[in-house]
Amino acid sequence: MATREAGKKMIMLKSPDGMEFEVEEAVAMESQTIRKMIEDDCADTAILIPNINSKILSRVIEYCNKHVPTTGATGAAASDTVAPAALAEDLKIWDAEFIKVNRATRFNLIQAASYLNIKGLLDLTSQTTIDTISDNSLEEIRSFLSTKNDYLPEEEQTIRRENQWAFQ
Amino acid sequence: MAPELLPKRRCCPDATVSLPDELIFNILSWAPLNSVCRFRCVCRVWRAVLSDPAFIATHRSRHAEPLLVVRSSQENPGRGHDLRLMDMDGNVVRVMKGIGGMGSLSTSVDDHVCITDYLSGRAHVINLAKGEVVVDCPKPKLEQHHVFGFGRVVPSGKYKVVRLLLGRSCDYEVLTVGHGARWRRVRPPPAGISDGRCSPVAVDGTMYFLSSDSPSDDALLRLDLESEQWTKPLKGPMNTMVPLRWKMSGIVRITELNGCFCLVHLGVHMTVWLMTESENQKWVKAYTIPVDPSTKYCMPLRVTSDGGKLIFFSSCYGQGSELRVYDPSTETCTMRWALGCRGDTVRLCNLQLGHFVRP
Repeated sequence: MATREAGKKMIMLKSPDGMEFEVEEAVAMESQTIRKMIEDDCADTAILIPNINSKILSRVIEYCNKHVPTTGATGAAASDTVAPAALAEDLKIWDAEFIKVNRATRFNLIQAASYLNIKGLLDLTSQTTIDTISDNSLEEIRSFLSTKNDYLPEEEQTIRRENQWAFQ
Repeated sequence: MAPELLPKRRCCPDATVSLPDELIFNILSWAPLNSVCRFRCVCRVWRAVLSDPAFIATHRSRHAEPLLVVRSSQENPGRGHDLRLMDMDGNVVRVMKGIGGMGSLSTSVDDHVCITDYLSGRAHVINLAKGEVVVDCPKPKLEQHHVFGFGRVVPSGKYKVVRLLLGRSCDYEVLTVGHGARWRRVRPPPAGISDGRCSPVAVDGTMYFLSSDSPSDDALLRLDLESEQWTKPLKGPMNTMVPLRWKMSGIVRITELNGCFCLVHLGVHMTVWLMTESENQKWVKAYTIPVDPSTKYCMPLRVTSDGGKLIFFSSCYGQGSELRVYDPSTETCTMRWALGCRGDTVRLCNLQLGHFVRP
């Protein structure tokens, strides 16, 4: 296992397209999936992350770097003089910038967050997606989430009538 | 909304990226209640999943804050007042047009509320999920001051309306909501009842009323909703004299707060008392919050699970109404959002997705 600086364990993450990312163990352990691998001692050398290409993996690492708890020996730029509320506000602004990506990247991030089990990232990407679409028409929703309307016309009329108030 | 994401997509290769169902439904669990109801019309699978108890529970966990019932002070010409369901951030979930009158609005009981109308003397019990009037209590025969209470019987769960007609001949009547509902007379209470601006409050099967008698005594009258019998009056929390005008003008109010019976006194501070043990008549002074001297109305709505912040609704003379949050750790109040209209009335309700969807 690689080490860099005093007391900081490093972990090597590999994407299927052959890129390698050296990250602090604490950062990698933001992912519950990786945490489990490390705790089960399955992570002696590099960890291959299947299905997540280097572009997406680097964004995920960027997110974890920012969100790793600022207490403890991670060396993140936390200052004792900054109030927790201000830090949370700063993170929120950072998140809002981070998630300004196109649909494909957003969906890839959702899948990566789900596979790597990073709750914060999954919640962020899912919430941002629903904020984007919750006021759109049903046709737009179907197209956005690749779903087909399989209602018979009369069936659709009935269900629409039942939920009429929600269309107003 | 970010519509720029939608039109472009149809002609770009991004469209090939799609998500597994499990992740789609995880996304949908973040949608507001009204959007989820609309999304049931997307396709059969969505309808089934969005009505499933597991999805309803996830949705509930994402939207833990209760919804607000807001009765508009503006009247639609000849058609009564609108009732709006809103979330705690001020987003409108549903508008029920012209369904309410301009009288008192009961604290909500699960998914029902009772609204009275000062002018017509009528009262409506409204099912908020269906947006329907389920009981229309007609105007009393005599022109009398009336007080309506609304609550739920424990353990049967039946809804009851209590109508007190205050005047020379006091009538006390109870109606059980349901098929063929009729008024029944009940015995008069052991003391007079204040017909001020504060509705009676039902908590855990007991309905509480502010007494109008004996100014030095802040007694609260109690009606057991199951037996329809008055039980021993409850001594209020304040050891000072409570003049009748305080009860008439809303300086002293009663309400329900996180399942506890609650008495609120508005002075230089808003003082919130909670009754923690009704049998031992144990009161706890939960909050003492400095308020603006021009405050004319304060109503606690909810204590949050994170750090016991108090969400309350208040309005000042000459200004609109606001939803405010008091943080006891910093002893500061902040405005959450402004309702705009003067005279709007706000209550909490317990509506959740499960009230709206049927598998």
